Amino acid sequence: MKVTARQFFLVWVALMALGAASFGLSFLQLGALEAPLALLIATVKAVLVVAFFMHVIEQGGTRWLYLLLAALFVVTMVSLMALDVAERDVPSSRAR
Amino acid sequence: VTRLAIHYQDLEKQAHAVKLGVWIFVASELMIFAGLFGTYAALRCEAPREFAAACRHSALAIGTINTGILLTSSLLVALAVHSVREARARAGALLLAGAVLLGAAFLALKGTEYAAHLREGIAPGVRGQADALATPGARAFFNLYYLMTGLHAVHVLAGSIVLAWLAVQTARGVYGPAEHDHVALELGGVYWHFVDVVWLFLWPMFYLLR
Repeated sequence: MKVTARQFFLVWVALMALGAASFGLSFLQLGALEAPLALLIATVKAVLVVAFFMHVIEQGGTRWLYLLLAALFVVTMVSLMALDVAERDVPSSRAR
Repeated sequence: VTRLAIHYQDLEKQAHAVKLGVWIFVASELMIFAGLFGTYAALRCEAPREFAAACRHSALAIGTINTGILLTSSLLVALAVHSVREARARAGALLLAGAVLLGAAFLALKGTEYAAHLREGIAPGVRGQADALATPGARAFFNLYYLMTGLHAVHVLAGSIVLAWLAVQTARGVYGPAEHDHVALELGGVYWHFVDVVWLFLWPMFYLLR
């Protein structure tokens, strides 16, 4: 598909709206939900930027496959590094 | 106007190879940041409350404005590529110049933010003496803050220089509407959008999760 100037503009509106939502949510003190929600919104924004601004939606094909693979590697590495610390038997003295 | 290098059969194959090369470069850049994202995640799990408390010392307004600035600059770059594809090089050059200005504004705001932190005594490493750095978690937070936003700022600087060069080239009419005739412009854009995407994650990590 060919992205039009109007569509680029709409994507930007969506990105700004998601940013505003993320900003607003940060004041609600949602506790355990806060970080996953903020990262989810950031991920949605990242997908919009990659798909439209980076022209992946136009050129598509196998590019989706290796982008997905790259994202999967990052998520795996980051979550394993976090889990290593979070799931230790002896809780850290600083996890107050 | 794009020249064919001797080791390619045609411009299409050359464009394909160049694009693949830049995407691999972007993937390797992603790995640099991924290591730091992992470090942040692990250290935050170790001291979640201390991280949140330290985050409350961040300049929320500046970080938020900078998010808007980068998203808008990405729009301008995407529209610049779009303009060149429609044979409107002049509009493309102006849009790129606008993106460069936004990049400079981002760096200027980041600079004032660093300066304000340093005046407060919030410095990286052993030089930080502020009360805000009293806990080990807070020191880890601000060390990562300087490391990650600093590395990101270097990327913004590099990206701005690339965009400025692309703006000049576009104004000179170097790029044509054909798919293989503005590869450098498209790939400079890909790099800029990547830098934008990294910031989309740095923003919640260092400003929002208070």
